[in-house]
Amino acid sequence: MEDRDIINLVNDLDEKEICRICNDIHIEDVEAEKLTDIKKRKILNKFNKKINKKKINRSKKILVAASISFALLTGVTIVNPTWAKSIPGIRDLIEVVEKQNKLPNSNGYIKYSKDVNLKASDRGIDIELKSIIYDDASLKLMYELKSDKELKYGIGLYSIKMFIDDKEISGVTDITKDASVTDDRTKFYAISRIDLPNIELNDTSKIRIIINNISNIDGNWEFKFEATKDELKKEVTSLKPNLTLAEYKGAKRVLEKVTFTPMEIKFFSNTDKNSTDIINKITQKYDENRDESKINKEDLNVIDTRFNSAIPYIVLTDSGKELDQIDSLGRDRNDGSYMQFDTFKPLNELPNKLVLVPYDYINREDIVCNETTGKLIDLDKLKTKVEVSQGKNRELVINTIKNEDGTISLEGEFKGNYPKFRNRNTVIDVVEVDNDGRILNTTIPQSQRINTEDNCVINEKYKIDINKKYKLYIGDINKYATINEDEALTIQVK
Amino acid sequence: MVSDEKIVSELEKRNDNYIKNLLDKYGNLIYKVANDILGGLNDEDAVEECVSDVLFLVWNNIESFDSSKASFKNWICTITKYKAIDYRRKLIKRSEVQNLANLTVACESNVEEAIITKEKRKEIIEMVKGIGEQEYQIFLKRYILDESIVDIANSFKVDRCVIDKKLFKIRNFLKKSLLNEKVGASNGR
Repeated sequence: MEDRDIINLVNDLDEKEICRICNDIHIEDVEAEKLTDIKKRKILNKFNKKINKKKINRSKKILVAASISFALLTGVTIVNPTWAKSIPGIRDLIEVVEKQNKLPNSNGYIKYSKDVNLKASDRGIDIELKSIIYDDASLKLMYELKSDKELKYGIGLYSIKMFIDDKEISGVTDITKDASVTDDRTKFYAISRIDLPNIELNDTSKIRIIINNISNIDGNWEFKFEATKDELKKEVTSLKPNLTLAEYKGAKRVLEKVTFTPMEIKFFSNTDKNSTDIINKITQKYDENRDESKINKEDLNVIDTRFNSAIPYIVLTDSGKELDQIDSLGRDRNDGSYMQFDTFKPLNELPNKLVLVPYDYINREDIVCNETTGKLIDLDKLKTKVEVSQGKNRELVINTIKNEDGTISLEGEFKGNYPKFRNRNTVIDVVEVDNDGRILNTTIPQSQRINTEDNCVINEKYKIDINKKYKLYIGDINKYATINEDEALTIQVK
Repeated sequence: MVSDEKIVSELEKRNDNYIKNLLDKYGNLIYKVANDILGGLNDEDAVEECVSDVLFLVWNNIESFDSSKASFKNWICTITKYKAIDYRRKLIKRSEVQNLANLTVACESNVEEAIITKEKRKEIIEMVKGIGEQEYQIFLKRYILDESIVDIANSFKVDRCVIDKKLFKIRNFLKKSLLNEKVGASNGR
């Protein structure tokens, strides 16, 4: 057997197998080189074209599959769901899911879900759709999935087509937020979310969902049922603020709808076709231009941060509570517009108003740990707690500092406004210094670093060499984002 | 900077927004690895295309990442290296095809190759794992990442003859395994 034979052998392995093998190969650390923003954008555009291409290919495939399944399903009657509150199945499913994940409001899921009890089988995979929640913001599917073989590749329903009252909904994606899987990976319990576009939906709708890929297995699983918003209607508040969130060179991003449900708060912001065309023209110009000196980076920065990402606002209630964002997803729609769904955790009660405070991230490359960007404090002098006040109502407190057995331990907390918008990574550090107190090394190994969800706790341990000198570096909390309270927008809720 | 865990879990959920996070975090590294392999071809487009293909490969195969075996960074680097080598092979092949007049036609069909099914290929690689961890690593570096024997020897800090011997051992092992397979298949008929 020659080298050539083995190369032929490995060349014919499929991508998935290669990716699996890549876990086994240990390679030496490579030093990265600087990739310019323009190159990044070009690469991202190439990638986007690839996934769009793939989507088109899949759609073609789905059309064929759908027409076949439609013929088979003509005899299927639409099931009128019964309320699930009294049915243990959904409770069990939610309990199983909740053991691994924290649902934003599991009681809401139990209270408002409706039993549908439908089953679809193909390629050895059975999906038992147990329950649904249908409201102005999304359709949630609660299901149990069983397979006769190990499902190796992820959880979720991929390649979905959805029809509401026979009208196809574009840009449908399953966001499997909460799922639980058995150890042998043959059974999933999951709650999937499909964001609904900002269109007027009937209170009772006929829903048809076609799934064409599960865990990388192509097939055809289809459900038809009737869903009603009746029970949930009184618990849902929908607002149409029609606020302009971003405006640039004629392009506009408008907050069309905000929906409060017991399970989530959702912002629907839309960039209409005309605005999308303007943005595409601007970015296309840069994609074709290789001369970076002629490029106005402001264009790209504004488009990326104000149009093609989560809403560029910190959302606060009237009592000052910052909403917790679950995710943000953008979808191209058939009419050429682009809709972004920003989903937040629900509140216990409806606020009087929401305040949207604009922010802009500070270029991370500017945030470095050196003598000019922060204070260096001699560790020996730190016997008591350290309190550093920075900016408007923002404070860093280090309660205890220990230097024992070659380990420096710091415990403390961040206090004040906008906890998620604080510079966290380069605001506190232990650095090695020379005899004159100049920084020699900022990458001291850390054995523990706790990053809590609220971004408030400081609990860090640094492994040091007892023969070297170290200092505590305190940077600027505010070097993360510029927050512009003066330009805040208000949405009256009640 | 978004954590690796977050990027992986969001990509598993098919959240394509996180490809941008992946590019922000590892784009420089991916570009460097791809450029080191493809840079010599003086085709900037090819490097960019290759990087976007790496993202596409990660997007389609994120579930193949196994955090118990490798760090995300290592996995990404390895995939990039593989993809860039694959690219280089194709680009060189393409330029060779353009010089058809110089082509020497050779029959390279091979009985061993013909009988190896895709499933069998996977099994063969599993079998190499059974020879020993070092042999397996050498096999992967040589045949997946196309590393030179000298580079492999340097990475293991051994003399190149050690690697030569180990590769010889692997090739013999595979030859025997395939022969046994052929005998088994003939007996089964």
